[in-house]
Amino acid sequence: MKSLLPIAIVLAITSAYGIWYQRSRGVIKAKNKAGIITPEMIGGAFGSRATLVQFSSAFCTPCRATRALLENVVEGLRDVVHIDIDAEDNLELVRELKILSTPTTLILDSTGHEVGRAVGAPKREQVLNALDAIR
Amino acid sequence: MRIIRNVVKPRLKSAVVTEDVRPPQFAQSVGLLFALSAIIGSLTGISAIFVIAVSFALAAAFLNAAFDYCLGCEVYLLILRLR
Repeated sequence: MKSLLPIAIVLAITSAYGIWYQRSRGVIKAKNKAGIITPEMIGGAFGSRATLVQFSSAFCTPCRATRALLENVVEGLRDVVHIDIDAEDNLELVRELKILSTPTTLILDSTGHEVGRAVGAPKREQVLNALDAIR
Repeated sequence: MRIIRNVVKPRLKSAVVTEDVRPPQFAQSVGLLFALSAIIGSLTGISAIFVIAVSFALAAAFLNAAFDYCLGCEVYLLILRLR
């Protein structure tokens, strides 16, 4: 029988990566140094308080969950808008905003400053907290 | 598949919500690619190709199973961006 070492190595590396992956997905991280995003760039009007810009792609199951969550969050708030962008059709914008994977959600204030970004499906509570912080 | 479509589904009372077929199809084609590479490595006797291809297939399958890893989400956009 051949050595099982390669299997052990692969499982060890992927376990470490998988734990990091699960911890980091969906966490909203503050972004202050990012530039200004305009309504023209994302192809839709901003909300008067905040805008949630989601980047999605076809081969992405959590994108659906994220869309459902954000649409539901926005439904109860008159001054927040949710915009869903297909990353595949907007590669220029994806490169410019350094979107590496889907779903990525940007939280913009009324002036188009990116105040937060979540890679992976975010949690409802975190989205609400981030929106509460924008006044 | 036929049993589900013809026997199970008509008997379900509520609307059946099914998963989008594209993400698993993408993952399956990536798996197929690695499996074919492994076969080529095995047939040509180049064991390095075999071990590397099988390692990637195992890594992707294990991440998906254990950590709910979404290969299409992480890799597809990166591939598109390379163009």
